[in-house]
Amino acid sequence: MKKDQTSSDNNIKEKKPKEKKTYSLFVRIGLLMLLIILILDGVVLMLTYRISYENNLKIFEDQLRGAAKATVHYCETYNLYDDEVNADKIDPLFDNICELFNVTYIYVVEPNIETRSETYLEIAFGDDASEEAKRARFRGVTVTGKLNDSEIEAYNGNTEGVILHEVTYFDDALICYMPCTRYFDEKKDAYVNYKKPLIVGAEISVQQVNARFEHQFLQIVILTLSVTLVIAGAFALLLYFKVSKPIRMISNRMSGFVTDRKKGIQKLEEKGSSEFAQMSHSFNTMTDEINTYIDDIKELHRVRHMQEAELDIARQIQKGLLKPERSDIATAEIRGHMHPARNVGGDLYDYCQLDDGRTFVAIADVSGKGISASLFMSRAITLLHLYAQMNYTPAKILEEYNNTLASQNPNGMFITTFIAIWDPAKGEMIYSNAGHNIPYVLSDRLIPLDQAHGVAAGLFEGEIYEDALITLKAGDTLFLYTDGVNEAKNVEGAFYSTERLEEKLTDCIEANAPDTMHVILSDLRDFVQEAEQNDDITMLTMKIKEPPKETVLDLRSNVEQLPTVKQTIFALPLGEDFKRTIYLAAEEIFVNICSYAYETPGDVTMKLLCADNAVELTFIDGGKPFDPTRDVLDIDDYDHDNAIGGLGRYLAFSIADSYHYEYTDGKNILSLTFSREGQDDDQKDV
Amino acid sequence: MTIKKTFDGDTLTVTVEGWLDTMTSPEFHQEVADLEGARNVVLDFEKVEYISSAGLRETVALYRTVSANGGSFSVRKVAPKVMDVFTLTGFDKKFEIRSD
Repeated sequence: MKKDQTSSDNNIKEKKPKEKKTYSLFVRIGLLMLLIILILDGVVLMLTYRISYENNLKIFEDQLRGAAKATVHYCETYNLYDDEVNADKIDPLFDNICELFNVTYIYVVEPNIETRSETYLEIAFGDDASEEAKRARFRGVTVTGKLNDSEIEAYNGNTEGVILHEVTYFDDALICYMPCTRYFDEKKDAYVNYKKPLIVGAEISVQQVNARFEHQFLQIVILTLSVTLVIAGAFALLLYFKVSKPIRMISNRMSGFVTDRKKGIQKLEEKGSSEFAQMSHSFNTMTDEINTYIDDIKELHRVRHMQEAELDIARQIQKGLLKPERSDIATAEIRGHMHPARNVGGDLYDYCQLDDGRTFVAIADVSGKGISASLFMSRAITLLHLYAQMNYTPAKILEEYNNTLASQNPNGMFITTFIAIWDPAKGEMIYSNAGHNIPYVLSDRLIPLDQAHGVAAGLFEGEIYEDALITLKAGDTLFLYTDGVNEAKNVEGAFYSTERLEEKLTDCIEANAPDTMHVILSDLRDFVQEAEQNDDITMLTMKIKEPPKETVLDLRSNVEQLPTVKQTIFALPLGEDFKRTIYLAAEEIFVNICSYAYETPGDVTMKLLCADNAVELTFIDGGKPFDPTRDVLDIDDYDHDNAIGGLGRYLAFSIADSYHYEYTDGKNILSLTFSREGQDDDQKDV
Repeated sequence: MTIKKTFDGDTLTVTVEGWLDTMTSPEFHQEVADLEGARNVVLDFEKVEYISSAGLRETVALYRTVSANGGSFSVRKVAPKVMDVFTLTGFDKKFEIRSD
C-alpha cells in the first residue's frame, strides 16, 4: 500500500511539475492555534501575576500591621527608653518579630516634627535587609528631612497603622507606621505617666520579596507553558492522525483515481463513526459509482466507435452507389455533388449514358435523413439504375419507380424525384417531376422546369406522371438541386432561399461561368459559414456540349485512294503531329482493308468524329468478316529478320488510345479513338 | 518524296526527303534495288516527315540486303516522330538508328 501511494505521488508530481505550492491547512490551523494558546497563556499569566502581586501586597500589609502591633506592644511593655534595662531584651524580641512576621526592617524612631528629622531608637533587620540599609540605619542615628506625611499621620495617633507603598527607582518598599507610647521617667525615681509618641516602622522590601516571587512565578510560567505545549502537541498529533492524514489519504486516492484505476482501486477503511468514516464511506460509494460510470462510458464509447465505423462503411457504400462527381461524355459535361448532413443521407443524384446516345439524369430527396433515409435512398437509386435502361420516358420511369417503392413502404416514406433524358440527336430533353424542387435550365435566360409536376414517389401506387419537353442547345446547363440548397441556414437562422439561388444562377448565365456547380457551392459556403448543416445538400449540373463534327468519306478499296484519305484527315482542325498520328493509323488500316477485305475492290467508308476530348476514326467495309483486333502480333516475339506481316495493324493499334471492332449487318466496323489530351490544336501548331 | 544517293568509297548514303508511305515506298524500293557495288549503306532521314509500315518494310529489306553482304547499315538524323515508329516496332534494336 505504501508503495502504491508513493508511486501515485510520483505520478502526480510527474504530471503536474509546476503545481502551485500549497500550504497544508493542518499547518496553518496548527500555527494559528499555537499563537492563540500562547496569547491566552500570556494574558492569563499576566493577570495571575497582577492579582498575585496585589494579594501579596495585602498579605504584606497584614504582616506589617502585625509586626508593627507586636513591636508597639513590646515597646510599651518593655519601656524602650530604658535602654540599660531593655536593650538586651528588645534586640532579640525585634529579631523575633522580623522573623515571625517575615518583615525586612523593624524600627522605632523618635520624630522631630519641626525639623522633619527622625532618630532611630531601635532597629532590627530581617533576612532580606540589604547591607547598605544596615550601614545607613543604626541605633542613635538621626536622619534629617526624612520624616514623611505617613509618619506624621501615625505620630498624630493613627493606631491602626499607616501603610505607605514607597516605590522609587531603587526600591519598592511597603511600610507600616504606628504610634508608640514611651513611658518617660525623667527623674528615674518616680514613675511618671508621661506620654511621648514614638513611631514604630515595619518595612518589607517588596522588590526583594518579589524577586523571590518572580523566580517562583517564572517556574510557574515555564511549567504552564510546557504543559500547554505538550497538550497542544498532543492535540496536534491527534489532529494530524485523525484529520489531516485521512484527508490527505482521501485526497491522494481522489487525485490518482483515474490513473491508478488500472492498478485497482483500494477502498478506504470505514472504521468508527466519525465524519471521516462517513467520508470514507461516501468516497467508497463514489468509487463504485464512478467505476460503474467509467465502465459504462467505455462501453458506450466502444459501441459508438463501432457504430461510427459502421456508419463510415455505410457512407462509403452510399458514395459508391453514386456516380463519380465529374463525368465528361461526348454530349455533355456532368457534375454531381452530394453532401449528407449526417454520415449518410437520403439524397441522391444519378446519371448514365444510354446506348442510343441519350443521357439520363435524375435527382431525388428522401423524406427525413440519416440511416432510414439512406436505406430508402439505396433502394431508390437501384430502381433508377434499372429503369433508366428500359427505354422508358421519364414519366413512365417515375410511374414504375413509384409503384415499386409504394408497394413495399411500411413506414410511409416518400421520395421527391426529378428525371430527365437528354437526346443530343434531337436537341431535346424530356423530363418529369415527382414532387421535387423545380430545376432550372441556364440558357439565354434562367428557365424553371415547372411543367409535368406530379406527386412525390413512394406513397400512392398507380400514380400517373406526365412528360414535358424542352429544347436545349449547346452551352445550356441543366441545374438540379435538393431543398438542402435553398433551405441551407446560416448562423442567424436565415435561409439561403430560392431567390438567392436564382440570382446566382442568372449571374452564371451572364458571366458564362464554366462550372455552375462550383459557383453555387462556393456561394453556399460563403452564406452558411460556420452554421451546422441541417439537411443533405445535393446538386447535379449537365452542361450541353457542341455536338461532335463528323466527316464521312466514301472510298473504294484501292490504295490509290490514300491521297484522298490523307487530304480528308489533314483538313481537320487539329495539330499537325496529331493528324500524322491519325493518318498513320488510317493508312495502315486502309491498306489492310485494300489488301485483304475484297476479292475485287469494294466500298469502304471512313468516318472521322471530332469531339472535344477525342477523335474517333472508323472504317466500315462490306468485305469478308475479319477482326483485325485479334491476333495482333507481340512485338517482343516478333522476328524482325524474317516475318513482315501484321506490322501495320500493330502500329495502328499501338498509337491509338483505344480501338473497337464489331461485325454488324454484314459490315466490318473498326473504330480507333485518339485522345486529344496533350495534343496541340491547329492554331497553336501554325 | 525525293531520293538522293551519294557514294563515298564503298559507302552509299541515301538522303530521303518527304513521306515514306504506302504510296512512295515502291519508288524507294526501286532506288535502292541496286547498290551499285556499295558495301555499306547510310540512310539520311533528316528530312523524312513521315514513315508508315510500308516504309519500314523497305528499310528493313535494305538492311537485310546490306547485312547479308557483310556491310554496315545505319539510319541517321531521324526526327522524333519517325523515331517513335522505329521504337514502337522494335527495329531500333536491330540496326543503328540515330537522331544525329
